[in-house]
Amino acid sequence: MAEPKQSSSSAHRPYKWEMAIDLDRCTGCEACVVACHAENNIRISGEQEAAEGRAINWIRIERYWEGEYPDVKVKFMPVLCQQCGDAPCEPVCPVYASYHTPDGLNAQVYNRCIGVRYCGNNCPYTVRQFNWFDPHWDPPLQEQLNPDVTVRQNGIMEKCTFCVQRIREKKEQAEKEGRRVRDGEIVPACVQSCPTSALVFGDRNDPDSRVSTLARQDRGFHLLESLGTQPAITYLKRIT
Amino acid sequence: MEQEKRHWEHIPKINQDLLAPLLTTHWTYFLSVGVLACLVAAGAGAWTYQVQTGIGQTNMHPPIFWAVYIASFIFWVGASHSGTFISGVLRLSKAEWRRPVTRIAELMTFISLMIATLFVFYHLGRVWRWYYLIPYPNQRELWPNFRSPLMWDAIAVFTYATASTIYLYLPLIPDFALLRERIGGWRKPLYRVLSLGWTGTQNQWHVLETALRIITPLIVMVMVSVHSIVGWDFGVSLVPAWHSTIFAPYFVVGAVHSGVGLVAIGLYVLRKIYRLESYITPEHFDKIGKLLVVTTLVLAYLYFAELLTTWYANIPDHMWVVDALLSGPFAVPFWFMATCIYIIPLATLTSPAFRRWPLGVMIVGVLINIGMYIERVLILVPPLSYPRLPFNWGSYFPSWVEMTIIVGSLALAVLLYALAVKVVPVISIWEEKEGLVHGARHGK
Amino acid sequence: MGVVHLGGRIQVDLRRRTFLKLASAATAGSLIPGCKENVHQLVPYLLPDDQIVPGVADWYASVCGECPAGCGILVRVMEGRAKKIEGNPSHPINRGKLCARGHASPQRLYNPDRIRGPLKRAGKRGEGKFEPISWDEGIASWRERLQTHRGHALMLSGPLSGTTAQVVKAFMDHIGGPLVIHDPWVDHALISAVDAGFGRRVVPDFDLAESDYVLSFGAPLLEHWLSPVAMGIAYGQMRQGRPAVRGRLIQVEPRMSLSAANADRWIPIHPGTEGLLAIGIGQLLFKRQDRPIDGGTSDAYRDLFEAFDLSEIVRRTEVGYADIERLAGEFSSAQAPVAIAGGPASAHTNGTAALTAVNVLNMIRGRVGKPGGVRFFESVKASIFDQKEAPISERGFLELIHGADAGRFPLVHLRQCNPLHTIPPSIPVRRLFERAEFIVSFNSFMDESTDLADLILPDHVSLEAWSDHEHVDESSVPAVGLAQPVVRPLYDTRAVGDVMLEVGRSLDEGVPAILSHETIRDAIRSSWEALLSQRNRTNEPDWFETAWIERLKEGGWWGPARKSKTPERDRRSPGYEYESALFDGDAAEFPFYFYPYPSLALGNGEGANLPWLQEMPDPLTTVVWGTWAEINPKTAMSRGIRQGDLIRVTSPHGFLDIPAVHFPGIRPDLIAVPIGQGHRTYGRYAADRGVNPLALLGALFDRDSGRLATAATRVRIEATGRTGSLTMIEQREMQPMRDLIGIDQINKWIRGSGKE
Ligand SMILES: Nc1nc2c(c(=O)[nH]1)N[C@H]1C(S)=C(S)[C@@H](COP(=O)(O)OP(=O)(O)OC[C@H]3O[C@@H](n4cnc5c(=O)[nH]c(N)nc54)[C@H](O)[C@@H]3O)O[C@H]1N2
Ligand SMILES: Nc1nc2c(c(=O)[nH]1)N[C@H]1C(S)=C(S)[C@@H](COP(=O)(O)OP(=O)(O)OC[C@H]3O[C@@H](n4cnc5c(=O)[nH]c(N)nc54)[C@H](O)[C@@H]3O)O[C@H]1N2
Ligand code: SF4
Ligand code: SF4
Ligand code: SF4
Ligand code: SF4
Ligand code: SF4
Ligand SMILES: [Mo]
Repeated sequence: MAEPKQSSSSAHRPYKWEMAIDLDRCTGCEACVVACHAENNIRISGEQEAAEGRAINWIRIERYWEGEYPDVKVKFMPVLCQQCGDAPCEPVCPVYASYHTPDGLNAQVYNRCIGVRYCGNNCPYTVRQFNWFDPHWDPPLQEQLNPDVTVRQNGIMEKCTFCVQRIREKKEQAEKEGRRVRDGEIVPACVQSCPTSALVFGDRNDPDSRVSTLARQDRGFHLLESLGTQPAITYLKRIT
Repeated sequence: MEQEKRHWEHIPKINQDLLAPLLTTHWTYFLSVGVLACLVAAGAGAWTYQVQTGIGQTNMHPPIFWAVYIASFIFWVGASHSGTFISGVLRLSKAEWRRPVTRIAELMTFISLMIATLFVFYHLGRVWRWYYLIPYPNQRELWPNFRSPLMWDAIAVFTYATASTIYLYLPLIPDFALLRERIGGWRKPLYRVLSLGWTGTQNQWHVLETALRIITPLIVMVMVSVHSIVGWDFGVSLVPAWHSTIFAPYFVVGAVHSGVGLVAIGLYVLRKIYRLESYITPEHFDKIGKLLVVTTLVLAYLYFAELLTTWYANIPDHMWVVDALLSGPFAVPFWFMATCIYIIPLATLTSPAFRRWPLGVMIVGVLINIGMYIERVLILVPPLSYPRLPFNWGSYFPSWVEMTIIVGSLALAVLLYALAVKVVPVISIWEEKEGLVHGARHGK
Repeated sequence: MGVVHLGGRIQVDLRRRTFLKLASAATAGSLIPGCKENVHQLVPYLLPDDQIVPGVADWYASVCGECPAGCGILVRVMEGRAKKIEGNPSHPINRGKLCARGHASPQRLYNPDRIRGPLKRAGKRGEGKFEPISWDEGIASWRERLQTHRGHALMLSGPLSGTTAQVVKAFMDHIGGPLVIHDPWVDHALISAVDAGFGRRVVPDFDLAESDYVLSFGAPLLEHWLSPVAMGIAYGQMRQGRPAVRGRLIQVEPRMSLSAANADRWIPIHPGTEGLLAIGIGQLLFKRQDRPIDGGTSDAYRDLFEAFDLSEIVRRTEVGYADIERLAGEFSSAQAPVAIAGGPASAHTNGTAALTAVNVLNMIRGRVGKPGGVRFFESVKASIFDQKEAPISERGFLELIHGADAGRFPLVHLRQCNPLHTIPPSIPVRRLFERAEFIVSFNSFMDESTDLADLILPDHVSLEAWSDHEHVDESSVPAVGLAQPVVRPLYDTRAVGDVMLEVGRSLDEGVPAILSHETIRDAIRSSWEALLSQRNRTNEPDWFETAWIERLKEGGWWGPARKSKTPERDRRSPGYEYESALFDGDAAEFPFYFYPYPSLALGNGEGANLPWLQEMPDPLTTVVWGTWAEINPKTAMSRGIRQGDLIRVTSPHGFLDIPAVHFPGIRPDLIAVPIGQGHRTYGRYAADRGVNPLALLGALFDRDSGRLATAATRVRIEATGRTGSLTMIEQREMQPMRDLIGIDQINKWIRGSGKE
């Protein structure tokens, strides 16, 4: 009877969800961006809001030009919430709407948020997005909304959740079956769609998970590491 | 003996002069109240519109999540330092010339704080959920996050508001008693309540003076803490060019700077309207002018210290902001601000002759406050415009809704002041008399 | 009808409506993430609404209809609504991955601007006035026209595949009249180059994944080349998929495309000289390789190549001799190099010649039929693929319009294509419409072409329809995707296949076998019976039902991986002949080259009505919701053109005003503009937005393939003095405060020059 015991004890070892982003694979194709819109009911901002700098993307492909013609280079960098281990956006929120989950995720409690926007200022990665107006879908576009994900109203902050709805589903399934979540069982929408497999998601507490092996590579680095935010995302540097 | 007698003869005149504003009202008063009311209505309309349609009616957008509302909040909290500083510090230092100034200043404090609080509400994305900020017991046992500087703010401002209300009220009691006797009509019952049955017994005077002696040093401390905490809203963040130890002292001094400037304006205006030349003399403007020179120098010193260290360290994240200010997109407002709050005050107020020219000092006061307002905006917007990942750099200019609300709130402040003048004597009557006697005792 | 979801609950052979009833009954109740149990029937009242998820997710395997690549998809359906598209992991083409456009396809299904039922023209033609009619009325009036114009009907169709292709072809043969397939995605130059080089009219498999050196002459492999998702997968594999090897990518093209942006080296070659560069590299390879390693097939080209003077090549390509040396050196020393070409390289009057020269590089290095090289496969034999009508080239269109039988088409049909937007006005497709007495459109949206129709019989969108898509030539694993309806049709639309079968039958007796089917689904079933009978046949009488269900679950049929085979080619000299690219417009009057390219998000315009795609930032410029003109910053500065300024781009065929984007990765003599916007109609998200750069193109074609030479028109530019509406996600270039207080001027005072 040692067997089940072990499994049950290991079943209670906490998870640490992390992501690895291989910049040598990412082509900037933006599939992840649209995938995230589809999965997470991200509003259709429209041209006006985009022009006002208010278009909402939970993941964006930052593009940096280097050099001058003809020796021009382009660097793409997908940036989403880094799910900081020590998240600057958390202590500043006066109402705990931005808080840390037991899985080490940075959660955003929509119905608690009052829209002070301090978290937005204090996120060094500028990934926090704000709902300046109520969202709108021209009917019947709303038919396609994902019932697993809340639609965010006017006046609250939002950002990448690591597709927490997918994490919860698989975690509960695993708990019911009295096992740990298997590596690769949870796939956030962006990771799932990425054609080049530049994005890899998994449990960092499992040393053998794909994300752990990648994160250990010597190409790995963290964004703005010096700030000590302990991001849960490891970037693998692009070669050349 | 003879002298003292002569002084007693002045007392009816003091009453007459200082009660005049409450008794007589010129038609221009109604006109200006009307105009102000319209501006306030416009502001209220704009806010309603913003609440109904969404905070998007402002021009804020990532990465600029805070802008003119918070800037105005800082500005008005700053303005509130006028009263506490002038009357508080001067009371402590027993400066005789303070007597006609204190009440004018304390009223400003009281009103500025109300306006400041309003801006917190303008700023909230979901103002209808504002009460989440209050630590009320609830089934889910959800409390506000006391680690958040914004909660420190809320507490500090609340304390400050209470304290300064008391501080305004205490010295009013004897005057309310006087008014209770002198003024009839709708105000009489009001004064009866407010004067707390003051009859001027030796004992009552004793209690009042003790109370004042206790609260005065306290209020000065609260004043310092309040703007320090407002400064820490920025200082404790890790936004480049916000994260700096100098913010707390800098904010306090800046607040006093604009506060004193505001007092200069107040003195001048009331003096003109209510012919208080014999109470508010060039001497007072001279003193105010000297104060402003001091605040200018201290503020400039702090600002320089901040710029020098940032510039010399030359850390890119910070330098983007410094460059933007000195020679970048924000250069024009920056240099205009510097001229208003540093150069002009020093150029003018260092001359004794100028300081004794009320109109001049008032104009400098106006420029200082315009400059300080821009300064508040520049503390907010440029650092937010240059986040660490340059892909997200942005820029900002206020929308008409934001501007309307700001103007409306300014109008509201003035309106409240105008109305207050009809309820409380703008110069503390008993303190004037006390000063008279005091002066007599010392053979002036 | 049999519909199956991966949950495994199976209902066989019910009519669609009954099925959907059952399906919804089965999925009633709700899934509560918060609870330990999945409550299926009862919902505790004390659960807050936002924790209640009504319905259980069903996953239907189908095929993405957003582009001809036909990736396999799984559609998440809850309570009869399609919620999310995901890649089908078992589909060999896209292996669970998806591109941005695939994700957006639910917005086509739930698009507010869909045509919701049959319409007939009310006002004058092109006036855009229509009135709804019944299907009976619609079909009756169509049949009537068919009878009167028997033998004179023209079918303009978008890409066709599998059984639908057979049905449409059979139908057109039956009623008499040409089937003209117009697919803007097909690179005719590539096909005719492969034909010239290898004697097969197919798109081969360029095995990037296993290559360690990809020399790309403009091939848009990371945008929309051949099969975009498959290419993406291969690219990832090529870069980091193998323990020891990291493949290199060199991109040769005048404008830095997304592919070039990801390349290790970008070589901004002079437009139209790609073939010359290939010849130059070929020469050097021949020199290094006295003994041919491909059994001498490349020898046929040796003399042709060596006839060119290398210094002349250097002069005309503007690629330095050292660079050509280096390319040749790398290409010959690499383990598994492959040379590919497309995009701007095919878009010239010498497209086929250029691509053929590039193919020769593969021959010289013996990369044909090898892993990581150019691979050909035995085609799969099955009735589904019997008749294939090849897409027509743009020159073919011109001949159709001006040719002998012009005006022979009083009856014109439109199916899933919008030639008035995807073909430049210099090829006057409009004439076909003007001459026609009656125009029938089966399109789902009121696009520019449908707007001219007299009768609209709206088709289902792909998520509501049956179809199958073969990948039997180009992929190492032969595959046929099977698309099933994932939701009940939203509106009063009908599958064009069903309508054709119904009308075809009713026209007269003795229709061909394929037309005798009741519905398109039946037709598909019988061709699948043929396909599967060779493979999955068992002795059970209902073997097909079981197999069919299995295939529906799986999302199609995939054969075993095949060995590639080198095609038999006649050994006669290929009669290769290189000619320089010709351009429309005199170089003095029109100093700039002009290159319109399909946009990553909107493709050739078909994506413009999907808000998510309008909102998807262009990776290089971050522009959303509009058209822009890419111009080299130096060129722009010298003309005082600032970011966002409206510039007038004038060609011999007209002008367009387009906001300028300073684009560091483009030759100073080139202006590039994305295709996709500029719709006049086509729904609220697309209409009156941006411009269609095709409007400026002249009617020049690739000599050998007849493909429109989209890069062969010259232009000139002028600043209009106005600023255009340019919306970028990257805001740093757009500084209202700057303009507001003329800060640039002040900077000049302070520092002598504007500081960026
Ligand atoms: N499966 C299951 N069944 C249960 C329970 C459970 O936990 N699970 N709980 C049981 C218990 S404890 C209770 S109390 C009952 C509660 O059962 P119900 O009394 O049905 O309680 P609700 O569904 O919360 O509210 C009923 C309706 O009242 C409407 N309503 C809300 N406010 C107002 C109002 O101001 N005026 C009017 N006219 N209508 C209003 C709500 O929109 C809702 O449609 O359910 C019992 N039944
Ligand atoms: N959002 C929302 N919230 C609601 C409501 C709503 O409609 N919507 N309804 C409200 C209403 S009407 C009610 S009554 C409350 C009900 O709220 P709760 O009282 O929380 O109802 P339950 O969770 O059903 O019961 C509480 C616990 O009692 C345990 N329990 C069951 N039987 C026994 C027993 O015999 N002994 C002991 N010691 N424990 C037992 C259960 O396992 C459960 O853990 O919810 C209220 N809250
Ligand atoms: S989908 Fe993958 S490759 Fe494409 S942009 Fe996102 S991360 Fe990069
Ligand atoms: S990335 Fe920003 S939002 Fe995400 S956890 Fe870190 S600080 Fe918070
Ligand atoms: S915006 Fe919301 S989450 Fe952010 S600090 Fe304010 S209340 Fe907290
Ligand atoms: S993890 Fe999920 S929420 Fe975060 S960016 Fe990817 S898809 Fe969006
Ligand atoms: S490439 Fe994209 S659009 Fe084309 S079929 Fe595949 S997923 Fe659909
Ligand atoms: Mo209850």
